Order: sequence, then structure tokens, then C-alpha cells
Amino acid sequence: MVKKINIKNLIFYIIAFAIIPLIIAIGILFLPQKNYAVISFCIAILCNIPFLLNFEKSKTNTRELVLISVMVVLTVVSRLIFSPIPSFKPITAMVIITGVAFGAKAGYITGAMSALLSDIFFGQGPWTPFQMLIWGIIGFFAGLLFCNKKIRLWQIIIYGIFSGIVFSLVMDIWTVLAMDNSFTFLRYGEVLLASIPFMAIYAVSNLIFILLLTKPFMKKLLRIKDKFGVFGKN
Amino acid sequence: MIEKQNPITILCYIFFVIFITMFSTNPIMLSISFVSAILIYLSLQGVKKTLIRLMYSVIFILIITIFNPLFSRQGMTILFLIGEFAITLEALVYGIIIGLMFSSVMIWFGVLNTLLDSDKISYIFSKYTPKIGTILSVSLGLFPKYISQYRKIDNNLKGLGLYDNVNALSKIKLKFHALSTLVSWSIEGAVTLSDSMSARGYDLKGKRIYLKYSFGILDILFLLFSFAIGICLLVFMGLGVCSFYYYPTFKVLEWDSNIWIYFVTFGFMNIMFLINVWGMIKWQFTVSKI
Repeated sequence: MVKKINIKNLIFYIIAFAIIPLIIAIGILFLPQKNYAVISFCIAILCNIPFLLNFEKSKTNTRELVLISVMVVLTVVSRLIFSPIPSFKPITAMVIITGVAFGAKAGYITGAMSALLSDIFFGQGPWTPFQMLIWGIIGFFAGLLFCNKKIRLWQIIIYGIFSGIVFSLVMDIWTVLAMDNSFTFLRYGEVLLASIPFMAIYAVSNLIFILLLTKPFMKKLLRIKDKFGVFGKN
Repeated sequence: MIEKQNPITILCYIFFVIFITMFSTNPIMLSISFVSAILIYLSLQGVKKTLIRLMYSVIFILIITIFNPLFSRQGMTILFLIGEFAITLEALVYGIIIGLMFSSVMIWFGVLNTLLDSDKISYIFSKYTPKIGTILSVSLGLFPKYISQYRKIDNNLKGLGLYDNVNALSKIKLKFHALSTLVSWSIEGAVTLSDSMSARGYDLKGKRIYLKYSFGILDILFLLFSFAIGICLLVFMGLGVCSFYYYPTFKVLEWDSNIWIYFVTFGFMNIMFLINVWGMIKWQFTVSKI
């Protein structure tokens, strides 16, 4: 039996095994001063592409598309609602809840698109692809780990705290790159020490939001899922 | 004038400019990029916003200039000592350069923000990934509705007197309550919206997507131009035509046969500005003066 070559997988493999190593090689070989910022920016853009194409090729009906866009808008609106309190953002919690309720793919798209949409309002920058990737992946793994299973709140809370810490760690890589265009672990450690309060705020705010939002939101989202038969098998 | 070009053309051009800026640590190249970015921003946004941008850039450059010597332990020319650490001239100048680079990248992103509004971003997505384009354009359409609905819910809570004489914690709780109400209101609405989309034939096979912008001859020329010049510049910079280093001490800037690259870069980065100015002049002459 001849297998048809799957274009989706092909693009994924080309990006993973050809383009990204090629960019890293070009960066190391041809740039006299290793430009970490520009290389990581390229790779962050490229890493988003397989996820987006995966969603594009998968079967989704209109209801699912509109529900995902509603979750995106709600995430951005919730960021606006709590914007008076600095770095107290419910985006991570909302993305995790979407991932838990609607599955991994919906989680990724909600995370990535809310990053893009909120940056349309708050200003795009080199950080946009990084944010898309991190929030997308947080939603993706929330879906993989918890979707269609019995919901235990404490597991989701631990995941939320963990993802707040990971978000802070990854964005600090970006801070180091912005500060001197190169990356050393010494510098990274210094920045990490300086950003411990922010990390704590991220983790605590994720805890609070998940604690307060999960129960009412999950009830509503799961009801919709059952009533209209969307996001059946992910 | 430049706003009417195809979004993909604009995106490619600005990405090339940003890559060239980020690849280089040469002070002349970075100054060229900074000046060009300020010029195009000025022609798009006016004097006041440009001054605010410039102020932010100066603050950013100052912060990095102060912090870089504190962390960096490289360089030969020691200016003074703070305890054990030597503050070197090289680290100070490198801080200024990195600050210049990132603030010009930020201004170029500001230009991108002005030129690519939400319509154009959803165009780019719906051309290549129609489903994600749909998600983006539906979200953009729903966003103002949800904001106004949230205000209504919040005002209702205020009208009921729930916000009177309560502490900060209860206020935050009320905000959660309003958000939760918004969720239940919106999700039912979403299903109605999707059903009406289906009723208008969104589910049918062979549907096509309305694309607002098309590729004209000018777009193709501009795209070819930016690819040709951009890739040439990147390759030559990769070969070390205008390389520059700061540690252990500065490289001496030479005015040799390689200075053409500065002129080419200056021309490349200002082409958009020139097109924009040309459009403004044309507008001044063709506008009716009755």
C-alpha cells in the first residue's frame, strides 16, 4: 500500500530538521558577532508555523471556529478588565481553561491568537512571536494533559503556577537578548534574580484566576460542548 | 501613498529592514537605520507622536548605557572602578549601540503597526490560512461589542449599588462576576453567530474568501526590489563588509572601498519615506483649492 505523503507532516519535518538548523548554522558561521536576537526571532516565527498549519488542515466546523474566536476575544477583554493592576493578567488562566475544556488545538490557537490580537491593541514588537509561542504551548499542553478527563482542580492549579514560572523564564531570555544582544548564563541568572518578584506575581495571579474562574467557566464551556456537540474528538 | 500597497509587500520590506538593523553592530549602519526610522515615522504619524517615540528611545538608550557597563566585564580602557568592578569605555559605548539598535527596531515596529492595521493583518492570515484568518476577523469584529457589553454589565452592577462602600477585594470579586456574566452571554451568542454563518453558506465547499488587496505591478516591483537589495545587503554583511567589534577594544572605522554599503543601505531604508513624501506632494498639487 502506497502511503500518500502528508503535506502537513512534510512541512513540519522540513521546518524542524532543515530550516531551523540552517538558520542556526548561518548565524554561527557567517555572523561575526553571534546575533542571538535575530536568530531567536526567526526561530520563534518558524515554530509557530507547524501549529498553525496543523490547525488549518484539521477538520473544524463553523461552530468550533466561532467558539474559538469568542474565547480569544474574552481573553483579550479579560486582560483589559484587569489592566489597572500591573502584571496581574488572566490571559494564562483563560488559555489554560480553554485548553482544558476544548482540547489541545483550540488551546494553542486561543493562546497564539490572543497574543496577536492583544498586541494589535497594545503594540506589536519583536516579542509578539515569542508570546504567541509560549501562550500557545501553555494552552496546547493544558489540552493534552487535562482535556476529556475528570477535572481535578489542584492539578490545574499546579499546572497554572508552573506555566506562570515558565512564562517568566522564557520572557527573561528575551530580556537578556534585548539588553546585550548575546546570551550568557551569568547574565541570565542576574536577570532571573531581579525578576523573582514578577515571577511570583505571575504564579500567584495564575493561582487566583484559576481558583476563581475554573469552576464557573468550565461549567459553561462543558455545557456548550455537550449541547452543540462541538470539539468532540481531539 | 505607501498605505495603499499590498500588506505582504510592506511586511517583507520592513522585515528586511529590521533584519539588517539587527544583524549589524556597526555604528554608522545603526545610525542610518535610526534616522530612516524616525523620518518614516515622522511622515506617517506627525511631529508630536514622533517626539514621544524619541523620548522613549532616549530613556531606553540611557537605561541600557547605565546597566551594560555594570554587568559587562570586558573592554580595555578603564574609566573608573566601583568596588571590584571596572567600568570600561568599551562597555559603555556598546551599551549605547545596543540601545540604539533596539530602539530603532522598536520604531520600525511602530511603523509596521501604523502601516499594517487590523484589516491588513487579517488579510495576510486569510490569504494563506483561511481558518485562522476567519478567527482573527471574527475576533476583531466581536471585540468592540464585548467591550461595550462588559461596560453595560459593569454599569448594571453599579446601578444596583453593589460597588458602594466595599473594599478593594470585593471590587475585584465583582469584576470576576461581570466577566463570568460576559462569558455566558457571549457563548450563546457565538452559536447563533456560527449558525447564521452556516446559513449564509460558510460551510459550503468551493467558497472563496474576499481579499481586499491585490498584487499590482507596483507591488511586484517593490517586492522584487526589496528582496534583491535586502538579500544582497545581508549577504555582504555576513561576509564582513561592514563588520565592527567593541571588545577588547574598538575597531578603527576605515573609509575604504566598502563605504558603498552605507549609501545603499541609506537608499534602501528611505525608499518608503520617499514614496510617502512623493504621495504627499502629489496630494498638495492635485487637491482642489476652491
